[in-house]
This record gives sequence, structure tokens and C-alpha cells, in this order.
Amino acid sequence: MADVLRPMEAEAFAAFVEARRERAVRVAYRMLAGDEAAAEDVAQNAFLRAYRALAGFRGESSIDTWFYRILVREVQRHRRWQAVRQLFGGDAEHAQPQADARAIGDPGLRRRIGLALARLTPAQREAFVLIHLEELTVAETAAVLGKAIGTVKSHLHRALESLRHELADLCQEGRER
Amino acid sequence: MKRTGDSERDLTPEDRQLIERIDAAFRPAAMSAARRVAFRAALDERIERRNPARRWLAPALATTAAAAAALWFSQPEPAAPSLAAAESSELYAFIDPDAVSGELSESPSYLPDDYLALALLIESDDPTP
Repeated sequence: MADVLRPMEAEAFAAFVEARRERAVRVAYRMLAGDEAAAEDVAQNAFLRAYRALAGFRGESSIDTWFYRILVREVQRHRRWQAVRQLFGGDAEHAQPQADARAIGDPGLRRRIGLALARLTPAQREAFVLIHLEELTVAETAAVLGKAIGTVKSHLHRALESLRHELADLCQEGRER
Repeated sequence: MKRTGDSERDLTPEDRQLIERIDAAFRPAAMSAARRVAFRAALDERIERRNPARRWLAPALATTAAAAAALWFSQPEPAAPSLAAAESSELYAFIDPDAVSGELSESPSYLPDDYLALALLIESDDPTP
């Protein structure tokens, strides 16, 4: 894939975006605890950075690991910017995850899950989303997040513990079935 | 990216159920064709918005550098003042004409040719004893 993209033709980049767009938006949506507009914005910024950096991609990691690292950094950048806006501008609009009308499923459940995810630390949320929801391996996640495998496992364990507590009724439903 | 095995994640059936519920309920809607087009158009716009600056910035810098170099090399070399020129009587005359007027007037070569010829004629007619 990297070899295909190295000449950085428009068609190759279009294929690159097409193959990752849905997942990039979904990862950003989950890491931002359900803000769909912000997720699309973050995904576009990640693709923009990838476009500018693809010529320098040396193939030392898989192109997906490389791209998701860019995406996670964009999510983190967005979160910092959002925190600054809330601090100085009292931006209440983004203070809580928005229940997006376009998203699928039960809006009430989605909101509860969004709040439960929002209560995790960013590192716990990133580990949980990448490993349990996006099904990356722990090693891949560690590479994407730039953290040690043990640290990622610790974040993952605490995230799951917290979600079990926050969404206990969903676990109960699972037990009853 | 490959799928993570449950053995690696060490999940109980309840945990697996919880994660499946979260996975199913907490995802954005699949993009419609119109949204995909809008996404791509917005991305292209962002790429284009950053590119024009780079497109004209490098040539502008190169042109400025070339113009500066051309200006530098087109200027004549400033002539170093020579000691001989500084000592010449013409320079002294320029600086202080009175200081050298006597010297110049005493020199026959100071007069133009026609005046010099007249002067010689007058001098030769002079009936000096």
C-alpha cells in the first residue's frame, strides 16, 4: 500500500481516503464520546495531515498504524482545543457529548454510553476504543498510542472496570440471556 | 489490522456482551452517498486551501532572491580612490582652486593651443633689451 501511495497521485490518495473514511470517523466519534460533527472534522484533519506526510512515510510501521497514530493525535489536539474553549469561552455547546440524530440505535442508550465513555480518562478511552471496539491488538494499540504494552493493558483494565460499573444493567442483560 | 482474540483481551461472557452492546449502539450512522461526497469535497477544499500559499511562496522567494542577486551584480564596482589621483593638481583645484591657480597659470600648457600661439607671438615681439 505504501509503495502504491509513494508517488502520491490523486487517485491513490482518493483510494486511501475511501478505504479508511468510515472507520476514521467512527474511531474519532467514539474517542470524542459521540460528537459526530467533531468526529468528521477530526477525520478530515487526519487525512489532510496524512496527505502532507505520505511522501515521508518510510514504511517502518504498517500504514494503518501510521494513519491511526495521526488520527489519535488529531483527536487529542481537538480535545485540548475544546478544553481551552470551555475554559476561556464557556463553550457549553461542546461540554457534553451530543446525541446525534443521524447516529443509529437507541438515542437514550447511545447517550448513556457516551456519558460513560466521557467519564473515562482520555488514555483509558483510547485503549478501550482501539482494542475492544476497533479490535486492534494490544501491541498495535501500544504502537498507535506510543505507549508501553503494560501501560495500555492497565488503561484497558481500568476502562472496562469503569464501564462495567457505569453500565451495569447492560451486563445484567447479558447475564440473563 | 487483525481482530483481537478474546484470549488476549481476557473477557468474560458478560464483558463480551457489554462490549457488543456498546459496539452496536455507539457508532455514527453509515455515510450516505451525499455525505461521502460532501466529506471528500470538504477534504479537497482543505488540501487546496493550504496548497496555494505553498504554490506561490516558493516561486516568490526564488524571484526575490534572483532580483536581489541581479541588483547586486549589476551595480558598478566602487572605484578605489588612488593615491596618484588624490595628489593630482586637478583634484586640488577642485577642492581649492585658489591654492593651485598660480601654478596652473605659470605653466604654458595651461593655455589652449590658439592662445598659446598668440602668447608666443606677443612674447617674441617684445623689444626686451
